[in-house]
Amino acid sequence: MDTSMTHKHEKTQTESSAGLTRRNLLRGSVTLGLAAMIGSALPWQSLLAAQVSSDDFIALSQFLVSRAVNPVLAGRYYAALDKRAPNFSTNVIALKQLIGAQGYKHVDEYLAQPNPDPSLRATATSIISAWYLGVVGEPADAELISYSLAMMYQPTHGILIIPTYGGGPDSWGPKPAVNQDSTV
Amino acid sequence: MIGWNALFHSKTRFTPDPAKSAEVNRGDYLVNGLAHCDTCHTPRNVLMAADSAKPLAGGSLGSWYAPNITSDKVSGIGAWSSDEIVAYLRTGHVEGKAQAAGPMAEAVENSLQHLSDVDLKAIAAYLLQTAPINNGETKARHEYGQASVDELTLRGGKPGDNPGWHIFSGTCANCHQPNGQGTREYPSLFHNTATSRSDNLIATIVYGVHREVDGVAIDMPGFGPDALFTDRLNDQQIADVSNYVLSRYGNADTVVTAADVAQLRNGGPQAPLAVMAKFTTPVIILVCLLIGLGAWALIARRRKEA
Repeated sequence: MDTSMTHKHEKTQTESSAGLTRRNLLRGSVTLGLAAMIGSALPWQSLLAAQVSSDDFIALSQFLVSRAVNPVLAGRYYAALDKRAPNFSTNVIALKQLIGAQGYKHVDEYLAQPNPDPSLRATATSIISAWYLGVVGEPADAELISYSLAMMYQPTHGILIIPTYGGGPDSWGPKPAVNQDSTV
Repeated sequence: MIGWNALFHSKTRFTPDPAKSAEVNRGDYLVNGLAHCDTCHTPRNVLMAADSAKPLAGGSLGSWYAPNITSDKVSGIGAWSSDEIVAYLRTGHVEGKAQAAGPMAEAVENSLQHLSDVDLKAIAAYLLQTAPINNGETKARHEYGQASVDELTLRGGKPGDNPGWHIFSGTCANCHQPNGQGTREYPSLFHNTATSRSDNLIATIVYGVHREVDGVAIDMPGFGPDALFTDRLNDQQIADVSNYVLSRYGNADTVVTAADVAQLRNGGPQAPLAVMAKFTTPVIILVCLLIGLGAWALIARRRKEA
C-alpha cells in the first residue's frame, strides 16, 4: 500500500514543472483576457504614437506657412492628416524638435538644408499643402476642410476672385457710360 | 354690423391731451389717427376689434406680425432712441436693430418716408412715452444672436450634418456673409428683429423684402413658391434654414416645422372668427329649421286643443 507515497510524488512533480500547472494556466489566461479588454478600450494608437498638443501643431504650421493660422482649422487639418499617415504625430514632434535644435527662423532655412530627412520633409510638405489647398489627401480619398479660407487664395486676395464666389453681390456697379467716338 | 358697432365703435374724434406736450399730441394724432399705426400694431380680440387694453402691443397680420411698439424696454421699442425711430420710419432700416418688410415696407415706401422731420420726431416722442406693455419676452428682440463660426467647422461635411447650414451657405451666405454679419448693403442676421420671431423670419424668406426709399430700391428675393425656379426652396428647406438662422443668429428657443411654413404661406393661423364663419350658413339653416319645427309644434298643439 504505497499509494500515499506515489500520490505525493506525482503532486510535487506537477508543481515543480516549468509553470505549466492548471493554476498558472488559469492565472495567465485571466491576465491575458483582462489585458485584451483594457487594450481594446484604450485607443491603442495613442499608446504607440506620441501626444501632440494643438498648440504645438499650430506653432509648427505657422512656422511652415509663414502666416497666422486659424486654431479651429488647425484642429481639423491635424485630425485629417493624422488619419492618413501612421507616423504623422511622431514626425510633427520630431520636426518641432529639429527646428528648435537648428534654430531656424523661417521655413526657407529649413528647406535649404542639404540632407533633409525624407520622412520629415514629406510630413512638412503635407502640412503646407493642406493649409494652402484646403484639401487633405489624394484625390481618391480627399477630404475638403476649407475652401474660401484656403491659403492659396491669399496672395491674390482682392485681385482675383475665389472661384464661384465672385466679388460679392454689391460689386456690380452702374452701367458704364458709352463713349461714342466713331460715327458710321 | 350695428351690434358690432354698438360694442366696439367709438364716434368720438381725437382730442388732444392737455397734460401732454404739443409734440406728443401731434404724435398721438398721427399714430392713432392719420397713419393709423394702431390698426396693425394693436392686438385684436375674438370679434376682431382692437383690444383697447393693450394699445400698440403687437398684432398678427396673417403671415406677418406687427410687433409691440410701446415704450417697454424689453417687449417694445423703449430701448430705441428717438433718432433711431425717426431713421426707421424714414428709411425702413436701422442697422443692428430692424428693417421694414411686408406691410411695413409698404407703409414706409408710400407714406412714412414722405413725412416731415417734425412729424417723424413727434411720432417718436409719442411712442416713447406710451404705456409700456410687456408680452412676456425676456430679451429685447434686437439683442439676439452673434456671428457664427460654422464656415470653419462645417465646410467639407455632408448636407445631412446640418441641413440648415447647407441651405444657408448655398442660398443666404452670398449676401448675408457666411458668419451672418452682412455687408454695407445687406443687414446682419444677428441683432436683427427679423430673427427674433419665427413668423416674420419665415415670411421674409418666403416673400422677400421690397421697398423703394428715396428712389433707391431695396430688395431681398423671396424663396417661396413664387420665386424664380433657381431660387425656390420647399417648405422643409425653408424650415431647416429658419431653424439654423434662429439657432445661430436669433431666438434659439423657437423651432419651426414644414407645417408651420405651409400654414404661413396660406395666410397664417386663422382667426377664431374666420374659423367660426365657416359654420355661418349651416347654423342659419339649423336655426331656421328649429324655428320652423317649433312653430309647427305650436300650431299642431293649438289644433289639438281646439
